[in-house]
Amino acid sequence: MDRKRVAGLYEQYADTVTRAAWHYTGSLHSAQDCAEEAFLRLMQQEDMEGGRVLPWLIRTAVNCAKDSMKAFEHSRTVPLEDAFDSPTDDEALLSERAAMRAMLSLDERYRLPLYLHLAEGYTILETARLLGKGFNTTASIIRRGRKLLQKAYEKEGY
Amino acid sequence: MRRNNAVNSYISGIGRLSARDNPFADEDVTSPETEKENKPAAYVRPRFGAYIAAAVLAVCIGAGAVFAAGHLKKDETPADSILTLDSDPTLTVPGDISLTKTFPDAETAMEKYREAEKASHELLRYYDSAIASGKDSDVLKKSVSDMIYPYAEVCQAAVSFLEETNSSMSCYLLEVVKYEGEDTLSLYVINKTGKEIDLTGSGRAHRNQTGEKLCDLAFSQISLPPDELSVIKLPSDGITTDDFNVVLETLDGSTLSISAEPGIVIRALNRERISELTRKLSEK
Repeated sequence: MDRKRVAGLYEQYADTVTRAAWHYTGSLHSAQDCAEEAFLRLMQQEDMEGGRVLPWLIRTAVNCAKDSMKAFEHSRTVPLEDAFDSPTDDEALLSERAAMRAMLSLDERYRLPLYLHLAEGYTILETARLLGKGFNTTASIIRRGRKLLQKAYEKEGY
Repeated sequence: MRRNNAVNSYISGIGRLSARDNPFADEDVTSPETEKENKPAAYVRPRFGAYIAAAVLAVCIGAGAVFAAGHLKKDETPADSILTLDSDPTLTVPGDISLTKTFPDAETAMEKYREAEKASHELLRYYDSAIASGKDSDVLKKSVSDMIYPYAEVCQAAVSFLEETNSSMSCYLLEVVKYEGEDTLSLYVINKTGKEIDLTGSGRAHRNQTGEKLCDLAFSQISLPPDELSVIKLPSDGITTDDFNVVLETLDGSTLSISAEPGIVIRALNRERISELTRKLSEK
């Protein structure tokens, strides 16, 4: 795929792909690395149909994120960014951090569907399509995931 | 108030994360707007223009729905024949499938779940046949997808009701699905024992009426979390009837007995076909 098109796709999808990867790395810098890696690999691909690009990018970035988490250097690091742990009295910021920690505490299978549905605004059907899963399975994962997210959030003291 | 904002806080927090500056950019970079024209709507984040387009689309869909309504007729066939597919392209819809999302008791919730699930499977079958026979007009697509979504919502509501309702039963069996091309039965159950059930992966199936043994069962070890919908996949070899009782062994030495009534087994389409149809239905 030519550089110009990849540049356009980066403008459009880079945030989504980075955030998707973050759900596996817990680190923004690693997630950004994985997103860039995914776009680099996209350049090596044949031109692909528009609808297949985002699922491909998400899958590639998530695989990269999972691989990076298996790597030795990550095995002893704390997943959340320093920025998340910097002291603050801002109540809204504290609750955001608690919600982010709650999300990372969930089983992996819930994180990406919840992110795509809740944060990116995709419908259940679109989420199912992006992830290559069935409608009912995705609906069930999202429904259960929301409950677990709320529970984990409450465990954070909220 | 603070107890209910996990999702809002998460959305707000995740919105603070962003990608690095575009490393591929140069002065000729394709603008996102140009690129967007090549993408299907499902993958484009809605922006202001998209909301206007969606409003226009909604008006068109509304008009289509009114038109479709004129082509739909109530089912007057026996209850077991949910849909009629004949040479006439008119779609005969189930007349007595309730779309209620509130249930007085668990039995009603299970009954409505099964009705809705069965109807949506039948609609998928209908849609599949309609495509094969060249009847996939836009109106038909819209009509079918308009009916599948409400059914899915009934199922979701029933599952939520059953998960949250106290029960004297140890497990609810919602449905049994036999997918075409697979040699397993999928049992959709909600564990209401209040604790996790660990299944050893072995058990037996009997005929319900006579107690005659149908087969021994060997499957993967699984755990059923309490108050959640789980799927138990059993080898279907030997279970040739819709009327059976399975007794499954648990790690703590007890057994879990699940009975399927006649007619509960839904023979669904091939999984890949369902995914493909679901994808087509989403492209409206």
